[in-house]
Amino acid sequence: MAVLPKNETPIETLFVDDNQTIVEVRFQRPENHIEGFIVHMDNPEDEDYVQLMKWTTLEDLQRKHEAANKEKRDWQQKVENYNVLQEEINDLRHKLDNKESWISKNKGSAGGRIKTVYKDQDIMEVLTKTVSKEDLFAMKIQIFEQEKVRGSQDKVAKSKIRKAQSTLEVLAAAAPMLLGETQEENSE
Amino acid sequence: MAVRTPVYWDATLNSGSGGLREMTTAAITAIKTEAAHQYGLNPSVDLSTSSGTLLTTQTDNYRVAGADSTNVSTYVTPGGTGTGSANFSLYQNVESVSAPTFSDKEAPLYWTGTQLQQFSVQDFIDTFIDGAIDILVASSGPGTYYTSGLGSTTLFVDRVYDDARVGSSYVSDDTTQTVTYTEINNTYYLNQYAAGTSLGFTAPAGWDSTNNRIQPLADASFQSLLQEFVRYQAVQSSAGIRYAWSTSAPSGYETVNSRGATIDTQRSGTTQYNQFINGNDYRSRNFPTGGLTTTETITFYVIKL
Repeated sequence: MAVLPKNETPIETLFVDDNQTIVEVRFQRPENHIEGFIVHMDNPEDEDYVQLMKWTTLEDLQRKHEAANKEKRDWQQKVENYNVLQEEINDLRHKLDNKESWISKNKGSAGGRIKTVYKDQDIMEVLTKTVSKEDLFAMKIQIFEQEKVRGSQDKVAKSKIRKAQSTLEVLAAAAPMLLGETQEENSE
Repeated sequence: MAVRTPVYWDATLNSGSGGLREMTTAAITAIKTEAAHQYGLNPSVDLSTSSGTLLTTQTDNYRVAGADSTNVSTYVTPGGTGTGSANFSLYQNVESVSAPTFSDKEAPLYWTGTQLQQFSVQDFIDTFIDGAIDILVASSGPGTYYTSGLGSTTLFVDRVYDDARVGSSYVSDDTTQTVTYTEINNTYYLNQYAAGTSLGFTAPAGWDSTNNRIQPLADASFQSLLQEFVRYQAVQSSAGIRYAWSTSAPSGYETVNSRGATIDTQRSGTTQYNQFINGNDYRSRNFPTGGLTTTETITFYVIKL
Protein backbone atom coordinates (compact mmCIF):
# COMPACT_ATOMS: atom_id res chain seq x y z
CA MET A 1 0.00 0.00 0.00
CA ALA A 2 2.23 2.79 -1.29
CA VAL A 3 2.14 6.07 0.62
CA LEU A 4 5.38 7.85 -0.31
CA PRO A 5 5.24 11.02 -2.44
CA LYS A 6 7.41 10.20 -5.43
CA ASN A 7 7.95 13.66 -6.89
CA GLU A 8 9.49 15.23 -3.79
CA THR A 9 12.83 14.87 -2.09
CA PRO A 10 12.77 13.96 1.60
CA ILE A 11 14.74 16.03 4.08
CA GLU A 12 15.55 13.00 6.16
CA THR A 13 15.24 9.21 6.25
CA LEU A 14 15.79 7.34 9.50
CA PHE A 15 15.08 4.06 11.23
CA VAL A 16 12.26 4.55 13.69
CA ASP A 17 12.82 1.48 15.85
CA ASP A 18 15.89 -0.16 17.29
CA ASN A 19 14.96 -3.42 15.54
CA GLN A 20 15.45 -1.46 12.29
CA THR A 21 12.19 -2.74 10.77
CA ILE A 22 10.56 0.64 10.10
CA VAL A 23 11.87 3.73 8.33
CA GLU A 24 10.36 7.19 8.55
CA VAL A 25 10.73 9.34 5.45
CA ARG A 26 10.39 13.03 6.37
CA PHE A 27 9.27 15.85 4.11
CA GLN A 28 9.32 19.54 4.97
CA ARG A 29 5.88 21.13 4.97
CA PRO A 30 4.79 24.76 5.51
CA GLU A 31 4.74 26.35 8.96
CA ASN A 32 7.70 24.33 10.15
CA HIS A 33 5.87 21.02 10.01
CA ILE A 34 7.54 17.72 9.21
CA GLU A 35 5.33 15.14 7.51
CA GLY A 36 6.65 11.64 8.03
CA PHE A 37 5.74 8.50 6.13
CA ILE A 38 6.27 5.04 7.59
CA VAL A 39 7.83 2.34 5.42
CA HIS A 40 7.96 -1.25 6.67
CA MET A 41 11.23 -2.86 5.66
CA ASP A 42 9.95 -6.44 5.49
CA ASN A 43 9.23 -6.61 1.78
CA PRO A 44 11.96 -5.46 -0.65
CA GLU A 45 9.45 -5.66 -3.49
CA ASP A 46 7.07 -3.23 -1.84
CA GLU A 47 6.60 -0.06 -3.90
CA ASP A 48 7.55 2.23 -1.00
CA TYR A 49 10.62 0.12 -0.19
CA VAL A 50 11.78 0.41 -3.80
CA GLN A 51 11.16 4.17 -3.79
CA LEU A 52 13.04 4.59 -0.51
CA MET A 53 16.07 2.82 -1.93
CA LYS A 54 16.20 5.47 -4.65
CA TRP A 55 16.84 8.09 -1.95
CA THR A 56 19.11 6.18 0.39
CA THR A 57 20.68 2.80 1.11
CA LEU A 58 20.33 0.35 3.96
CA GLU A 59 23.97 0.95 4.85
CA ASP A 60 23.40 4.68 5.08
CA LEU A 61 20.30 4.19 7.23
CA GLN A 62 22.21 1.87 9.57
CA ARG A 63 25.18 4.25 9.74
CA LYS A 64 22.93 7.18 10.69
CA HIS A 65 21.06 5.05 13.22
CA GLU A 66 24.28 3.91 14.91
CA ALA A 67 25.71 7.43 14.86
CA ALA A 68 22.55 8.78 16.51
CA ASN A 69 22.64 6.03 19.13
CA LYS A 70 26.30 6.73 19.85
CA GLU A 71 25.62 10.45 20.20
CA LYS A 72 22.81 9.64 22.62
CA ARG A 73 25.01 7.30 24.64
CA ASP A 74 27.79 9.91 24.80
CA TRP A 75 25.30 12.49 25.99
CA GLN A 76 23.94 10.12 28.62
CA GLN A 77 27.49 9.46 29.81
CA LYS A 78 28.09 13.19 30.07
CA VAL A 79 24.87 13.59 32.03
CA GLU A 80 25.87 10.72 34.29
CA ASN A 81 29.34 12.20 34.87
CA TYR A 82 27.79 15.58 35.55
CA ASN A 83 25.34 14.04 38.03
CA VAL A 84 28.14 12.18 39.82
CA LEU A 85 30.14 15.40 40.03
CA GLN A 86 27.12 17.28 41.35
CA GLU A 87 26.58 14.59 44.00
CA GLU A 88 30.18 14.89 45.11
CA ILE A 89 29.94 18.67 45.26
CA ASN A 90 26.69 18.46 47.22
CA ASP A 91 28.23 15.92 49.57
CA LEU A 92 31.21 18.18 50.23
CA ARG A 93 28.93 21.17 50.74
CA HIS A 94 26.87 19.13 53.17
CA LYS A 95 29.95 18.11 55.13
CA LEU A 96 31.23 21.65 55.15
CA ASP A 97 27.86 22.95 56.35
CA ASN A 98 27.72 20.29 59.05
CA LYS A 99 31.23 21.04 60.20
CA GLU A 100 30.58 24.74 60.48
CA SER A 101 27.39 24.21 62.44
CA TRP A 102 29.11 21.64 64.61
CA ILE A 103 31.94 24.09 65.29
CA SER A 104 29.61 26.91 66.23
CA LYS A 105 27.53 24.55 68.38
CA ASN A 106 30.51 23.21 70.29
CA LYS A 107 32.45 26.42 70.77
CA GLY A 108 32.10 27.33 74.41
CA SER A 109 30.66 24.03 75.57
CA ALA A 110 34.07 22.49 74.95
CA GLY A 111 35.91 25.44 76.38
CA GLY A 112 36.31 27.00 72.96
CA ARG A 113 38.27 24.04 71.69
CA ILE A 114 37.65 22.73 68.17
CA LYS A 115 37.21 18.98 67.91
CA THR A 116 38.11 17.06 64.76
CA VAL A 117 35.43 15.03 63.02
CA TYR A 118 36.33 12.42 60.37
CA LYS A 119 32.89 10.94 59.74
CA ASP A 120 32.36 9.24 56.37
CA GLN A 121 35.93 9.82 55.25
CA ASP A 122 38.50 7.36 53.95
CA ILE A 123 40.46 6.46 57.04
CA MET A 124 43.79 6.06 55.20
CA GLU A 125 43.27 9.43 53.61
CA VAL A 126 42.50 10.87 57.02
CA LEU A 127 45.57 9.28 58.56
CA THR A 128 48.06 10.33 55.93
CA LYS A 129 46.84 13.68 54.69
CA THR A 130 48.37 16.92 55.91
CA VAL A 131 46.05 18.51 58.44
CA SER A 132 46.01 22.06 59.68
CA LYS A 133 47.87 22.96 62.85
CA GLU A 134 44.56 23.75 64.50
CA ASP A 135 43.11 20.34 63.68
CA LEU A 136 46.28 18.57 64.78
CA PHE A 137 46.31 20.51 68.04
CA ALA A 138 42.64 19.74 68.66
CA MET A 139 43.34 16.08 68.11
CA LYS A 140 46.27 16.05 70.53
CA ILE A 141 44.09 17.69 73.17
CA GLN A 142 41.47 15.02 72.67
CA ILE A 143 44.07 12.29 73.00
CA PHE A 144 45.44 13.78 76.21
CA GLU A 145 41.95 13.98 77.62
CA GLN A 146 41.60 10.22 77.34
CA GLU A 147 41.72 8.71 80.82
CA LYS A 148 44.16 6.03 79.74
CA VAL A 149 46.60 8.63 78.43
CA ARG A 150 46.06 11.13 81.22
CA GLY A 151 46.76 8.49 83.84
CA SER A 152 49.83 7.14 82.10
CA GLN A 153 53.33 7.84 83.46
CA ASP A 154 54.95 7.24 80.07
CA LYS A 155 56.58 10.64 79.53
CA VAL A 156 58.41 9.57 76.38
CA ALA A 157 55.16 8.58 74.69
CA LYS A 158 53.44 11.78 75.78
CA SER A 159 56.37 13.78 74.39
CA LYS A 160 56.00 11.97 71.06
CA ILE A 161 52.37 12.93 70.97
CA ARG A 162 53.22 16.56 71.59
CA LYS A 163 55.83 16.55 68.82
CA ALA A 164 53.74 14.57 66.30
CA GLN A 165 53.31 16.28 62.90
CA SER A 166 50.46 14.16 61.52
CA THR A 167 47.42 12.22 62.59
CA LEU A 168 49.25 8.98 62.05
CA GLU A 169 52.14 10.07 64.31
CA VAL A 170 49.72 11.14 67.04
CA LEU A 171 47.93 7.80 66.96
CA ALA A 172 51.15 5.83 66.74
CA ALA A 173 52.50 7.58 69.83
CA ALA A 174 49.24 7.17 71.76
CA ALA A 175 48.60 3.55 70.71
CA PRO A 176 50.91 1.82 73.27
CA MET A 177 49.14 3.58 76.13
CA LEU A 178 45.64 3.02 74.80
CA LEU A 179 46.17 -0.53 73.57
CA GLY A 180 48.29 -1.59 76.54
CA GLU A 181 45.57 -0.82 79.03
CA THR A 182 42.94 -2.28 76.71
CA GLN A 183 44.85 -5.55 76.56
CA GLU A 184 45.13 -5.53 80.35
CA GLU A 185 41.41 -4.96 80.61
CA ASN A 186 40.74 -7.82 78.18
CA SER A 187 43.01 -10.16 80.11
CA GLU A 188 41.30 -9.46 83.41
CA MET B 1 -29.64 -21.46 19.76
CA ALA B 2 -29.81 -25.20 20.19
CA VAL B 3 -27.23 -26.39 22.69
CA ARG B 4 -27.15 -30.20 22.78
CA THR B 5 -25.62 -32.65 25.21
CA PRO B 6 -23.55 -35.09 23.13
CA VAL B 7 -23.04 -38.71 24.08
CA TYR B 8 -19.73 -40.50 24.25
CA TRP B 9 -18.62 -44.09 24.68
CA ASP B 10 -17.91 -44.80 28.36
CA ALA B 11 -15.96 -48.05 28.55
CA THR B 12 -16.49 -48.30 32.32
CA LEU B 13 -20.25 -48.76 32.08
CA ASN B 14 -22.02 -52.10 32.29
CA SER B 15 -19.31 -53.80 34.31
CA GLY B 16 -16.65 -52.92 31.76
CA SER B 17 -18.70 -53.80 28.68
CA GLY B 18 -19.10 -50.08 27.96
CA GLY B 19 -22.04 -47.96 26.92
CA LEU B 20 -23.18 -44.54 25.75
CA ARG B 21 -23.28 -41.73 28.25
CA GLU B 22 -24.15 -38.04 28.07
CA MET B 23 -21.20 -35.68 28.45
CA THR B 24 -20.80 -33.60 31.55
CA THR B 25 -20.52 -29.81 31.40
CA ALA B 26 -16.82 -30.17 32.16
CA ALA B 27 -16.34 -32.52 29.21
CA ILE B 28 -18.13 -30.09 26.89
CA THR B 29 -15.99 -27.22 28.21
CA ALA B 30 -12.89 -29.31 27.46
CA ILE B 31 -14.05 -29.54 23.84
CA LYS B 32 -14.61 -25.74 23.71
CA THR B 33 -11.11 -25.21 25.09
CA GLU B 34 -9.71 -27.60 22.50
CA ALA B 35 -11.53 -25.65 19.78
CA ALA B 36 -9.90 -22.43 21.04
CA HIS B 37 -6.53 -24.18 20.99
CA GLN B 38 -7.20 -25.30 17.42
CA TYR B 39 -7.97 -21.70 16.44
CA GLY B 40 -4.65 -20.63 17.91
CA LEU B 41 -2.90 -23.07 15.59
CA ASN B 42 -4.49 -21.48 12.52
CA PRO B 43 -6.32 -18.18 13.13
CA SER B 44 -8.69 -16.89 10.46
CA VAL B 45 -8.88 -13.22 11.54
CA ASP B 46 -5.43 -11.72 11.23
CA LEU B 47 -3.80 -8.34 11.74
CA SER B 48 -0.96 -6.74 9.86
CA THR B 49 0.92 -3.45 10.10
CA SER B 50 1.46 -3.27 6.35
CA SER B 51 -1.41 -4.74 4.32
CA GLY B 52 -5.08 -5.63 4.41
CA THR B 53 -8.21 -3.67 5.20
CA LEU B 54 -7.27 -0.51 7.08
CA LEU B 55 -8.52 -0.74 10.62
CA THR B 56 -7.12 2.39 12.25
CA THR B 57 -4.25 4.82 11.99
CA GLN B 58 -2.54 6.33 14.99
CA THR B 59 -0.42 9.41 14.50
CA ASP B 60 2.85 9.83 16.32
CA ASN B 61 3.02 13.57 16.93
CA TYR B 62 6.33 15.04 17.95
CA ARG B 63 7.80 18.52 18.22
CA VAL B 64 10.95 19.70 16.51
CA ALA B 65 13.26 22.64 17.16
CA GLY B 66 12.43 25.89 15.40
CA ALA B 67 14.56 27.70 12.86
CA ASP B 68 17.52 29.82 13.99
CA SER B 69 17.20 33.53 14.28
CA THR B 70 20.31 35.53 13.44
CA ASN B 71 21.18 39.17 14.12
CA VAL B 72 24.28 41.35 13.73
CA SER B 73 24.23 42.94 17.17
CA THR B 74 22.05 41.06 19.63
CA TYR B 75 20.10 37.88 20.25
CA VAL B 76 16.58 38.19 18.86
CA THR B 77 13.57 36.02 19.56
CA PRO B 78 13.62 33.00 17.25
CA GLY B 79 10.58 31.45 15.62
CA GLY B 80 8.50 28.92 17.50
CA THR B 81 9.20 25.21 17.61
CA GLY B 82 7.87 23.06 14.80
CA THR B 83 5.82 19.90 14.65
CA GLY B 84 6.21 16.51 13.09
CA SER B 85 3.90 13.59 12.55
CA ALA B 86 3.92 10.08 11.14
CA ASN B 87 1.04 7.65 10.81
CA PHE B 88 1.17 4.06 12.00
CA SER B 89 -1.55 1.92 10.46
CA LEU B 90 -3.12 -1.37 11.46
CA TYR B 91 -4.83 -3.60 8.95
CA GLN B 92 -7.28 -6.46 9.47
CA ASN B 93 -7.50 -9.51 7.24
CA VAL B 94 -10.58 -11.70 7.52
CA GLU B 95 -9.96 -14.91 5.66
CA SER B 96 -12.50 -16.50 3.37
CA VAL B 97 -13.50 -19.75 5.05
CA SER B 98 -15.95 -22.19 3.46
CA ALA B 99 -19.00 -23.24 5.43
CA PRO B 100 -18.21 -26.53 7.18
CA THR B 101 -20.22 -29.71 6.62
CA PHE B 102 -20.23 -33.10 8.31
CA SER B 103 -18.86 -36.11 6.54
CA ASP B 104 -19.36 -39.67 7.73
CA LYS B 105 -19.05 -40.20 11.51
CA GLU B 106 -18.34 -36.54 12.18
CA ALA B 107 -21.72 -35.39 13.48
CA PRO B 108 -21.89 -36.07 17.22
CA LEU B 109 -24.95 -37.89 18.57
CA TYR B 110 -27.23 -36.69 21.34
CA TRP B 111 -30.16 -38.29 23.18
CA THR B 112 -33.49 -36.58 22.51
CA GLY B 113 -35.27 -38.45 25.30
CA THR B 114 -36.63 -41.02 22.95
CA GLN B 115 -33.88 -41.60 20.41
CA LEU B 116 -30.32 -40.81 19.36
CA GLN B 117 -30.07 -37.87 16.98
CA GLN B 118 -27.17 -36.42 14.96
CA PHE B 119 -26.03 -32.84 15.59
CA SER B 120 -26.82 -30.36 12.86
CA VAL B 121 -24.04 -27.95 11.79
CA GLN B 122 -25.76 -25.22 13.81
CA ASP B 123 -26.03 -27.54 16.84
CA PHE B 124 -22.28 -28.07 16.65
CA ILE B 125 -21.65 -24.33 16.50
CA ASP B 126 -24.06 -23.59 19.33
CA THR B 127 -22.77 -26.37 21.56
CA PHE B 128 -19.00 -26.10 21.08
CA ILE B 129 -17.88 -23.26 18.85
CA ASP B 130 -19.75 -20.30 20.26
CA GLY B 131 -18.21 -21.06 23.66
CA ALA B 132 -14.81 -21.37 22.01
CA ILE B 133 -15.18 -17.85 20.63
CA ASP B 134 -15.92 -16.66 24.18
CA ILE B 135 -12.67 -18.25 25.32
CA LEU B 136 -10.80 -16.60 22.48
CA VAL B 137 -11.98 -13.07 23.25
CA ALA B 138 -11.39 -13.49 26.97
CA SER B 139 -7.89 -12.85 28.29
CA SER B 140 -5.05 -14.64 26.50
CA GLY B 141 -7.26 -16.34 23.85
CA PRO B 142 -4.95 -18.50 21.70
CA GLY B 143 -4.06 -16.93 18.36
CA THR B 144 -5.67 -13.60 19.17
CA TYR B 145 -3.79 -10.33 19.26
CA TYR B 146 -2.70 -7.87 21.93
CA THR B 147 -0.27 -5.01 22.24
CA SER B 148 2.51 -4.57 24.78
CA GLY B 149 5.94 -3.09 25.24
CA LEU B 150 7.71 -6.28 24.21
CA GLY B 151 7.69 -8.14 20.93
CA SER B 152 9.04 -8.07 17.41
CA THR B 153 6.27 -6.58 15.24
CA THR B 154 6.16 -2.84 15.81
CA LEU B 155 2.65 -1.43 16.03
CA PHE B 156 3.36 2.12 17.19
CA VAL B 157 6.39 4.14 18.16
CA ASP B 158 6.03 7.21 20.34
CA ARG B 159 8.87 9.61 19.68
CA VAL B 160 9.69 12.92 21.29
CA TYR B 161 12.33 15.57 20.71
CA ASP B 162 15.69 14.24 21.85
CA ASP B 163 16.78 16.01 25.00
CA ALA B 164 20.38 15.23 24.07
CA ARG B 165 20.06 17.65 21.14
CA VAL B 166 19.17 20.69 23.17
CA GLY B 167 21.57 23.53 23.82
CA SER B 168 23.69 26.22 22.26
CA SER B 169 25.77 23.70 20.30
CA TYR B 170 22.64 22.84 18.33
CA VAL B 171 21.87 26.44 17.49
CA SER B 172 24.61 27.20 15.01
CA ASP B 173 24.40 24.15 12.79
CA ASP B 174 22.48 25.67 9.93
CA THR B 175 20.19 28.63 9.81
CA THR B 176 18.18 27.15 6.98
CA GLN B 177 17.28 23.77 8.41
CA THR B 178 14.88 22.72 11.09
CA VAL B 179 16.46 20.53 13.75
CA THR B 180 14.45 17.30 13.65
CA TYR B 181 16.19 15.04 16.14
CA THR B 182 13.76 12.66 17.79
CA GLU B 183 14.23 9.82 20.20
CA ILE B 184 12.04 6.86 21.06
CA ASN B 185 9.97 7.29 24.18
CA ASN B 186 8.05 4.00 23.89
CA THR B 187 7.65 1.24 21.34
CA TYR B 188 4.45 -0.77 21.26
CA TYR B 189 4.38 -4.17 19.62
CA LEU B 190 1.63 -6.25 18.06
CA ASN B 191 1.66 -9.74 19.53
CA GLN B 192 -0.38 -12.94 19.30
CA TYR B 193 -1.09 -15.24 22.20
CA ALA B 194 0.46 -18.64 21.63
CA ALA B 195 -1.72 -21.63 20.79
CA GLY B 196 -0.31 -23.51 23.75
CA THR B 197 -0.83 -27.23 24.11
CA SER B 198 -3.93 -29.37 23.99
CA LEU B 199 -5.37 -29.93 27.45
CA GLY B 200 -7.13 -33.11 26.41
CA PHE B 201 -10.75 -33.92 25.63
CA THR B 202 -13.11 -36.80 24.89
CA ALA B 203 -14.51 -37.00 21.39
CA PRO B 204 -18.27 -37.57 21.22
CA ALA B 205 -19.78 -40.61 19.55
CA GLY B 206 -20.95 -40.36 15.93
CA TRP B 207 -22.85 -42.53 13.47
CA ASP B 208 -20.69 -44.52 11.05
CA SER B 209 -23.05 -44.93 8.12
CA THR B 210 -20.53 -46.99 6.17
CA ASN B 211 -20.51 -49.76 8.75
CA ASN B 212 -23.87 -48.94 10.32
CA ARG B 213 -22.51 -48.52 13.80
CA ILE B 214 -21.95 -45.96 16.51
CA GLN B 215 -18.31 -44.93 16.71
CA PRO B 216 -16.39 -41.95 18.13
CA LEU B 217 -14.12 -40.00 15.82
CA ALA B 218 -10.39 -40.38 16.21
CA ASP B 219 -9.02 -37.47 18.27
CA ALA B 220 -7.02 -36.02 15.37
CA SER B 221 -10.07 -36.08 13.11
CA PHE B 222 -12.20 -34.40 15.74
CA GLN B 223 -9.50 -31.74 16.26
CA SER B 224 -9.51 -31.01 12.51
CA LEU B 225 -13.28 -30.73 12.62
CA LEU B 226 -13.11 -28.27 15.52
CA GLN B 227 -10.51 -26.16 13.72
CA GLU B 228 -12.62 -26.04 10.56
CA PHE B 229 -15.67 -24.90 12.51
CA VAL B 230 -13.95 -22.36 14.76
CA ARG B 231 -12.10 -20.77 11.85
CA TYR B 232 -15.42 -20.48 10.03
CA GLN B 233 -17.25 -19.02 13.01
CA ALA B 234 -14.49 -16.46 13.74
CA VAL B 235 -14.92 -14.82 10.33
CA GLN B 236 -18.71 -14.56 10.60
CA SER B 237 -20.21 -11.10 10.94
CA SER B 238 -22.38 -12.37 13.77
CA ALA B 239 -20.66 -13.84 16.87
CA GLY B 240 -17.33 -13.80 15.04
CA ILE B 241 -14.04 -12.18 16.10
CA ARG B 242 -12.83 -8.72 15.10
CA TYR B 243 -10.37 -6.14 16.42
CA ALA B 244 -10.55 -2.41 17.04
CA TRP B 245 -7.87 0.16 17.86
CA SER B 246 -9.73 3.21 19.01
CA THR B 247 -9.89 6.01 21.54
CA SER B 248 -13.09 4.62 23.09
CA ALA B 249 -14.55 1.15 23.43
CA PRO B 250 -16.74 0.09 20.48
CA SER B 251 -20.36 -0.43 21.44
CA GLY B 252 -23.15 -2.69 20.28
CA TYR B 253 -21.21 -5.94 20.43
CA GLU B 254 -21.59 -9.02 22.61
CA THR B 255 -18.11 -8.71 24.10
CA VAL B 256 -15.45 -5.99 23.94
CA ASN B 257 -12.20 -6.56 25.82
CA SER B 258 -9.14 -4.34 26.06
CA ARG B 259 -5.87 -5.83 24.93
CA GLY B 260 -3.51 -2.98 25.78
CA ALA B 261 -3.08 0.62 24.72
CA THR B 262 -0.72 2.78 22.71
CA ILE B 263 0.09 6.28 23.95
CA ASP B 264 1.39 9.26 22.04
CA THR B 265 3.26 11.90 24.04
CA GLN B 266 5.06 15.17 23.38
CA ARG B 267 7.38 17.45 25.28
CA SER B 268 5.46 20.22 26.95
CA GLY B 269 7.93 23.08 27.25
CA THR B 270 10.06 25.36 25.08
CA THR B 271 13.49 26.76 25.85
CA GLN B 272 15.52 29.29 23.88
CA TYR B 273 19.26 28.83 23.51
CA ASN B 274 21.73 31.34 22.08
CA GLN B 275 25.00 30.94 20.22
CA PHE B 276 27.60 33.66 19.70
CA ILE B 277 29.18 33.05 16.32
CA ASN B 278 31.07 36.33 16.02
CA GLY B 279 30.58 40.04 16.66
CA ASN B 280 28.25 40.25 13.69
CA ASP B 281 26.31 37.03 14.20
CA TYR B 282 24.14 36.32 17.22
CA ARG B 283 21.93 33.27 16.81
CA SER B 284 19.05 31.83 18.79
CA ARG B 285 16.78 28.82 18.49
CA ASN B 286 13.79 27.44 20.35
CA PHE B 287 13.90 23.81 21.48
CA PRO B 288 11.13 21.51 22.75
CA THR B 289 12.04 20.67 26.34
CA GLY B 290 10.52 19.55 29.59
CA GLY B 291 8.30 16.70 30.65
CA LEU B 292 6.02 14.58 28.52
CA THR B 293 2.30 15.08 28.18
CA THR B 294 -0.10 12.61 26.60
CA THR B 295 -1.40 13.65 23.22
CA GLU B 296 -3.57 10.62 22.53
CA THR B 297 -4.26 7.19 23.96
CA ILE B 298 -5.62 4.50 21.68
CA THR B 299 -6.81 1.23 23.16
CA PHE B 300 -6.56 -2.07 21.35
CA TYR B 301 -9.73 -4.15 21.60
CA VAL B 302 -10.80 -7.68 20.72
CA ILE B 303 -14.48 -8.03 19.93
CA LYS B 304 -17.03 -10.81 19.75
CA LEU B 305 -19.50 -9.47 17.22
